[in-house]
Amino acid sequence: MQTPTSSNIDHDCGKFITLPQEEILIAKREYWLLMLFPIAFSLLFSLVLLAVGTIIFLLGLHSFPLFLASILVILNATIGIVGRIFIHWYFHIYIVTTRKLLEVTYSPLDTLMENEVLLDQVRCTEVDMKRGGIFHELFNFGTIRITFDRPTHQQEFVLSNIHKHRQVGILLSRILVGFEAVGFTNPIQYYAANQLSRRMGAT
Amino acid sequence: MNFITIVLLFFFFVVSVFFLLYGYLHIRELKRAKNDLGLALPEKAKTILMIALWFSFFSVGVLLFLLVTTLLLGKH
Repeated sequence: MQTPTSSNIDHDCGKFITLPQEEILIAKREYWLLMLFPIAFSLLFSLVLLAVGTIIFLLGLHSFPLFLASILVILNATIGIVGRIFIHWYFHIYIVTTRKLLEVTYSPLDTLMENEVLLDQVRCTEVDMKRGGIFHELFNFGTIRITFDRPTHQQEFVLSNIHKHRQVGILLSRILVGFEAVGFTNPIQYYAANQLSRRMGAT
Repeated sequence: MNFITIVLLFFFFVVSVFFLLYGYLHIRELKRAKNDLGLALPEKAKTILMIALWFSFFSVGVLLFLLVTTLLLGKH
């Protein structure tokens, strides 16, 4: 079994208490770049609001107190929203140990979700990796979807937007399926019919 | 004009108080999460959040000052 590498464990994911002989293999968050999009959108939107506030209160109503108040409120709101986006990203962690898969989502005043799959109670049937779009391609991240054969309603465990998801997926398939089943390591070779018969004849 | 100013200032004041409370409760919950879940923000992020909270507190104070002065000046 592959040993955990530093790229598979984010060191700021927290301190974990594990059972005896339990080893943490993967501890990851979603790729940080994804957090920048809503933050950039919030900043842009607040800039637009600031411009609108300036036009209405300073140029339209000629009221400096209202202009100042609007700036303070918009800055307050923007800081609050950006802080919330960061906290939501920071407290969404995927952890894989030799005994279980765990997804922790924590959003203060809102959500605490712990999704846990005990690996000795289930049989993994599929480890699918998906990378969709040019942005995923450029920054090398994607989604890993693990399907279990288990008597529960939730049949899939999804690790969304993981950086270097192929490495993580290959490691997961080694852990869960028990062999190097991912196509990237064992390529399928295709031959034209005439080449195939030639090869078959040679062997 | 004055009435509109006072109403708008009051609205901005209420919104600011909401964000101040929201930030304060967030930070309080994060402290609880550190104890319960063992999850804690890095020190830099904590410092930035505390600065943001103080800014929120400051803006509530400024808005209250603006509201009160507008009300007092409006009477004269």
